Amino acid sequence: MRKKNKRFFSMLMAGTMALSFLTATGCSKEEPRKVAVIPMSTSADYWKTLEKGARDACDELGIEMTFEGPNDETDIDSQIQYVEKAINNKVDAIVISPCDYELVSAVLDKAGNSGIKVVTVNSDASSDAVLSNVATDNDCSGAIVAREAMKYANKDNSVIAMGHLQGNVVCEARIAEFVTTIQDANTETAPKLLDTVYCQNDIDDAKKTALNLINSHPELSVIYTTNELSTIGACQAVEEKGLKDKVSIIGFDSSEKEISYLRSGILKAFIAQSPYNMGYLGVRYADKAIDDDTLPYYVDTGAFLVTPDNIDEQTTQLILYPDKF
Amino acid sequence: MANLNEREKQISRGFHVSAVMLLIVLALVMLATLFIYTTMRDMYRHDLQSTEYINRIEAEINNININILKLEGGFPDKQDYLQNVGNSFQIINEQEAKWEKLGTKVGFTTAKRADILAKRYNQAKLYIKAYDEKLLLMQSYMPKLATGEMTGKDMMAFYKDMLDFYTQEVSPIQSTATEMIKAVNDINQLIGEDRLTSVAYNHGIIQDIVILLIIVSEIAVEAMRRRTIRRQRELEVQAHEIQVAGERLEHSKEKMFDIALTNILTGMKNRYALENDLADRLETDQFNIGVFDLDNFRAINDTYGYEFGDEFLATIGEMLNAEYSNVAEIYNITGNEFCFIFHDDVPDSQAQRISDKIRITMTTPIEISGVVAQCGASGSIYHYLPNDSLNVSSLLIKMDTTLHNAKRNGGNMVYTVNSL
Repeated sequence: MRKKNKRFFSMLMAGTMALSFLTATGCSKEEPRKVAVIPMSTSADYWKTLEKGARDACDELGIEMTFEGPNDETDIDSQIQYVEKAINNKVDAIVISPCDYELVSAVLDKAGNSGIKVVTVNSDASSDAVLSNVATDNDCSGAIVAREAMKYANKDNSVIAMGHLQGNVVCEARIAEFVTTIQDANTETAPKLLDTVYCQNDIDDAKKTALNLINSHPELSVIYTTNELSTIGACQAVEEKGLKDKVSIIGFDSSEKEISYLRSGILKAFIAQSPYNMGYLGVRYADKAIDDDTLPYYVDTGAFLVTPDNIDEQTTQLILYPDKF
Repeated sequence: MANLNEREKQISRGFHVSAVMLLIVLALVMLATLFIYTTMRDMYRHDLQSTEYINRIEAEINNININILKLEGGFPDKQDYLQNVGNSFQIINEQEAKWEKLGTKVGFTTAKRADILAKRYNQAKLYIKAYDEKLLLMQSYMPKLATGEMTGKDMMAFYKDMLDFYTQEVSPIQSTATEMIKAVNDINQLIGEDRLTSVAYNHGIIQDIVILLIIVSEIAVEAMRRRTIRRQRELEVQAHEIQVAGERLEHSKEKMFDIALTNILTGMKNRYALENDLADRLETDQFNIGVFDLDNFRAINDTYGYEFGDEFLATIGEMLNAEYSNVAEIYNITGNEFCFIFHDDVPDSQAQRISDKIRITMTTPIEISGVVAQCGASGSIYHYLPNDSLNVSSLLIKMDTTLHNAKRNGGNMVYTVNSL
């Protein structure tokens, strides 16, 4: 009987060990971190590229990501709702491109108070909860464009900035350093700077405004447009007038339409941002924030001047089509 | 019996098969453990080298940046800084070549992770290249720096231009390149963790297999043990049955033997018993033997019937047994003929006297169912010496001849064989 018991216990022990091993090997996974990425809008290619960057970072770091935002970049209320939703879902971090610098701040404060780490990308918000801002430096963009503009103009010509929306923070920031750089340039060679004009963030309005400028300023050699729609409108005007050798457009953003205008010579250059890097670095910084690492307050993801000369270079392609690499 | 052998074979085959299986599985487990060990070692080396190369690249990017900042700041020794930048890019290229040679796929890495790593590395490499290209563009400022002819306001404007170019166009690429290469390191680290988990998992599985194996063999051994015990018990039962059967056979054999050597009527030993007892003694022993016979016993059978005769004989047998079994071995060799082999401690003279007494006993009147009958009796006695007879039959013939002589001479006498 004793022998039998001994045997029974040895079997029992072996069985328990086996079970404990099975559970130890099977149940050792941690809960993945949750990050909510909230763009200004989910519709444009720009935001889809940003999503890809964010997604890649999440895949690399094993983060669970949601990508939700308003349909329209001006729909601030809707974006606030998405932030609320993320707070309710108890995410670890929010990566957001605020639709408005001031109006989204309150809800971001609330998120910060709930212990959620907040990183802004592409645009910024005034909230103290924002730990880091990953975006293109709009001042730099303006200066880069100004340097390029002066290649197409001399002291007998004039240059002008056509903003996409008067009073818009981004628009004004993109214009400010352009203006300063032209004004600070050598007075002997620098072109004349005309007063900034605006279109209503609309292709047709941009085209109309550009046509007016071309007609009323025969010495005009460069129009700087500050976003995709204003750039396309201005290109249409130059195309219609057949003045691509006289009036140079230097634009902003890198849609396929703009790329085709660049290749046809109407668009002389454009500033490409890197939404992929914004999404990618935004998530990486959010992950570091969850670990309570110190973050740089601001990261410039760069403004890349794309010209017909460099568009086919590998590094330019990397900026334009990050998914191919 | 054939069945039993078959079963024994089965059991021993079972033991062999399980032993071989155990060896095979143990060998497999050892191989698997060895595989895990070597893979882990390779992985460890791989990760160590990979991290080393990537860290070096990151350090060199920092180094380049420091040198560029010194250039920007108008520090002296400008050519040295440029030289340093060139060296750093050279080192980066070497590290990249080493890293690429190392590859991304070593044991326990998922293809997905390896792809992610390859993609990130590729992007990092392209950003480093872009950084290099931007720095080459910056070198257009260098000749002016080298001449050192500028003064005052020109100098200020020149440095401002160069600084603008750096912050606006170079710095973002530099920081992106740094971030990307850091990401490569992070992925490397995650792959390392993945591998550890994977190794732990595989190790756990092997442990589980071993434990399961132990349990299974325990069960098998236990089953074998029970089977063997059962088999042994069966054998014991069979052996017992055989023993019982043997005993019974022996018993019935003895009984049959007894029956064969006993006169059915008187229950005394018969002629076969006499032969059996005497045969071995003829060559070596000397003894006194007497043969006695009722005279004219046929008359009793004829007068009172066979049943009466049988009863009469039985009574005489009982009497002889009662009186003489202490001095002689008594045999009822035929119907009314009795043979006495006197014990060795009975002297010859006494044997002679006892013989007379026997004859007288046999002539005692006997009452059966109210009828009294009496018969005369004769006998022969023989002092046998070794080798007097070849066999029991010839001895008995001698005795019978003497007995018949006594009867012929009137009966109721005992003759001695030697006296003839």
